[in-house]
Amino acid sequence: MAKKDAAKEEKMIPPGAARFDSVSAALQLMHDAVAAEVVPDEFLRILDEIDAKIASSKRIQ
Amino acid sequence: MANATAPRQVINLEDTEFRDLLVKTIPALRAFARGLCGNRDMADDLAQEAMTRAWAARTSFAAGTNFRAWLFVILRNQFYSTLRKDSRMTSWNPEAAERLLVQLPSQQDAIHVNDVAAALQKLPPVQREVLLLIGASGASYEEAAEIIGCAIGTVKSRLARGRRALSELINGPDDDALPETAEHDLTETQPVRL
Repeated sequence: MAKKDAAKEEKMIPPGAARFDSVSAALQLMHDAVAAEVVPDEFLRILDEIDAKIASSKRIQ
Repeated sequence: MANATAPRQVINLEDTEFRDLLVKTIPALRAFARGLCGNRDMADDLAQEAMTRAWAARTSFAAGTNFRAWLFVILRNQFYSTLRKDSRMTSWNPEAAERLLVQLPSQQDAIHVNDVAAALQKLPPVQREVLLLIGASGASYEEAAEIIGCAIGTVKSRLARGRRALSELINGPDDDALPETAEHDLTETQPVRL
């Protein structure tokens, strides 16, 4: 029964859908590869500036 | 009875909490920017600008709401603003891409990530952003609609068209239908109000 259902399901996959699976995987890989990169120093400089502003506003308070 | 026209009270985060959220979202922000621009340096410039703008606008962020969506709106608005002024944003730089092989066990033909990335840059930006948000960043239809500032139905139809066009650009057309080409229609990219 399960085999029959699986065969039926496979037939229902529209043309191109299986091909898109690898494209979808590539999109995720693109995202994950960038997200896993070391954050460049320029971003850390912005955070340092934010930290300085937070410290400065605390001093004023 | 409450006055419906009274301004909504926004509960803000402490600056340090806001800063922590910003730090956590940097990887996703950079990835979204990279996908939109197709160029590492431009994408990082865009992400840094978005961070700076987000910090300046931090009092408009309501605590408990979706920070990633809020930050992505800022980046997206900045992207379309820059795109209108600088057409280089749409060009893909293959030298900047790492050639990563993706092969699913069930598939005979492997595809390369930079082939997908290059094809992505040929799509209209409105389709590209939906593919990036849902296909790459894992956003829900609702979150994507919030970021783009459109209806969920519009997100779904753009996603379907974008998927079909991307697949056809990489693998060739499935049937007689022509892929949607590299038309950069910016008429539907008005800034989303925060």
